[in-house]
Amino acid sequence: MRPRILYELSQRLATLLEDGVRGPNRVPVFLCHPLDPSDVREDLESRTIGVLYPVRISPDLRYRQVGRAVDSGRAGRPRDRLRHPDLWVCVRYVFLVAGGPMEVQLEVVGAALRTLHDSATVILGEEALREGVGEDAPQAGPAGERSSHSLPEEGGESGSFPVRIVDDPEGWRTLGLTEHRFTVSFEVSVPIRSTKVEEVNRVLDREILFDRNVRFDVDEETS
Amino acid sequence: MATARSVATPRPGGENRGGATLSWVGPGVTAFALAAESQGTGSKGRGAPRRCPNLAAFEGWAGGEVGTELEESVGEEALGDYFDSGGRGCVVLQDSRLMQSGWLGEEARAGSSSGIYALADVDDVGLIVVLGAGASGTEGGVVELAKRRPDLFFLLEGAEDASDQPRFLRSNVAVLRPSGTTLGGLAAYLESVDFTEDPPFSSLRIAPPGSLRAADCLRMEAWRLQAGLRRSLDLGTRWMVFEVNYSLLWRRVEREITGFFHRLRRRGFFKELEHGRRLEATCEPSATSHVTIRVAARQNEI
Repeated sequence: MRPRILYELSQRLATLLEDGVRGPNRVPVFLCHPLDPSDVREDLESRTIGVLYPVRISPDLRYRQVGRAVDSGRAGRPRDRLRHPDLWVCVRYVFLVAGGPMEVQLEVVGAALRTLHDSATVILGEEALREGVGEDAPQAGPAGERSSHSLPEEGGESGSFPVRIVDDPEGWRTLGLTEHRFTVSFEVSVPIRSTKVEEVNRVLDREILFDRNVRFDVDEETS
Repeated sequence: MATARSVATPRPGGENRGGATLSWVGPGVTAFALAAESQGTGSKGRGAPRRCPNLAAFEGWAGGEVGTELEESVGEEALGDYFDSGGRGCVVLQDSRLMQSGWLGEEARAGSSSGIYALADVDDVGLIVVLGAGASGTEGGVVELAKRRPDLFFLLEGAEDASDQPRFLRSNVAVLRPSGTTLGGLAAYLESVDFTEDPPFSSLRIAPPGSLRAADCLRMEAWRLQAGLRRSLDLGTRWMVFEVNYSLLWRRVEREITGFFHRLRRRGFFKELEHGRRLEATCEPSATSHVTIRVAARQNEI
C-alpha cells in the first residue's frame, strides 16, 4: 500500500489554515497548484481564496536514524520484528493568498501566520501514520535516541510533527507565477515508514565450540 | 554445551563487571562429591552442595568428629590434602546414595538435581572430584555427562588396583586409584593452574603432585586453560540471551571476543597455543533461537 502521510498531512494543514483564517466570510483553502484551473475556479475578482501547495519534499537529515527499530512481539504475532528506520522528509509548503481586496488578503496572511505560530506542531492520527505498512504495522518510534518529534509509542493515538515558518521571499516565483502574490512558506518534517521488515527470534540458547585445531596441549620439551 | 544457565556468581574482577565486558574468570572452583552420609542436614543422607572455605567448616558439619569410616578415609583426607596443598575453597556435596553402584544422581531442572548433577549445576564449579562412589557403572554416566558438559573436568576414584597415573576416559575425565591424598592434592594443583590477566600468567601455581607424569600434568593444565577461556566466553556473553538474534548482535559479539583475545594475547596467554596462528571467534546463527560461538585458529596473514 502506498504511504498516505504526505496527503494526510497536506489535508490536515489545509483544514488547519482554513479554520484559522475564518472570518466574516469563508476563505476557502485549496490543496492544489495555483495554476490549476480545475481546482481554482473561483471568481478571484470578488473573492479571496487560499491555496496550499507542497513545493519541495526533501530528506531531512536532522532526524536520520541508523540501525534497526525493534517491534516487540505481541498477541497474535509472537515473533519480534526488525524494521528499517523511517525516512524522514521535510515538506515545504507555500500558502498563497489570491483574489479579493487587499485588506482581506492581508488579514488572511496575518491569520495564516498566527495559525502556524500557534500550532507549533501538526497532529496526525494513527491511521495516517500506519498507512503503507500493513494493518498490523508497528507504531513504536525508531530505536536509539528519540527526539521530541518522534512517533508515538505503541498504543498511542497520534503523532505530532513540528511546523516551522521559513523566510522565502521568492516563493511565488517557485510556484511558476508570473506576478507577485502574498505567500507564507513553512516546513513540516514527517516520517515515511519503511516497509522493509524482518521477523526475528530472540537468542534463547548459546553454544561455545572450540575447533579441533584449538589445542592448548604443549610438548614436554617446550614447557 | 555451554548454555545459558542461572545468574553467574559475582567474582572479584571477573564477570558482572559493568555488563558486557569480557574478562578472564578462570576455569572454575573445585567441587567434591563424597559418598557419605550428609551431616547436619537431616535429609536422610541426601545432601546439597555447600561452600567449604576451609577444613574446619567441613569438620563442623560432622559435629567436630568424623562420622563414618568412609568419610575418615576418603572425604576428610581428600579435603585435608586439598587445603594443605593450597586449595582456595571448594564446594562439597555429601550423599550416601553415591555409595550405590552406578548411582551418580538425578538430573532435573536447575536447583532440583542431586548427586554430581547438582554440583554440575553450580555456576562456578569447573572441577568435580568424585570420591567413594560405587566403582561399577559410574564411569559411563560420568563420561556421558562430560560429553554434554565440556566445561567441567571430572576426577574419579578408580578401583583399588588402578594405577597411580591418571587414566583418561575423555579429555575431561580422569580416573585415579582410590587415594584421597592424591585426588585432593591433584585438585588443588589443578585449581592453581590459572591465568591472571595482571600479572601475566599465574603466580599462584603450585608444584604438581610428585607421582604424576609431566605429560599428564601438562594435558590437564592445557585443559584447564581452555576451560578458563570457555568459561570466560560463556559468562561474558550471557548478556546476549534474549537479545534479538540478528547480524548486528553477532558482529558485536565477534568484536568483543576479538578484543578479549587481543588483551589476552598481549599478556602472553596464547604464547603456547598460537604458533603463527590466531584465534578467531565467529557467530554461527541458526534460523531458530540458537547461536553457536565457534572459536578456531587461523593462520596469520603475512
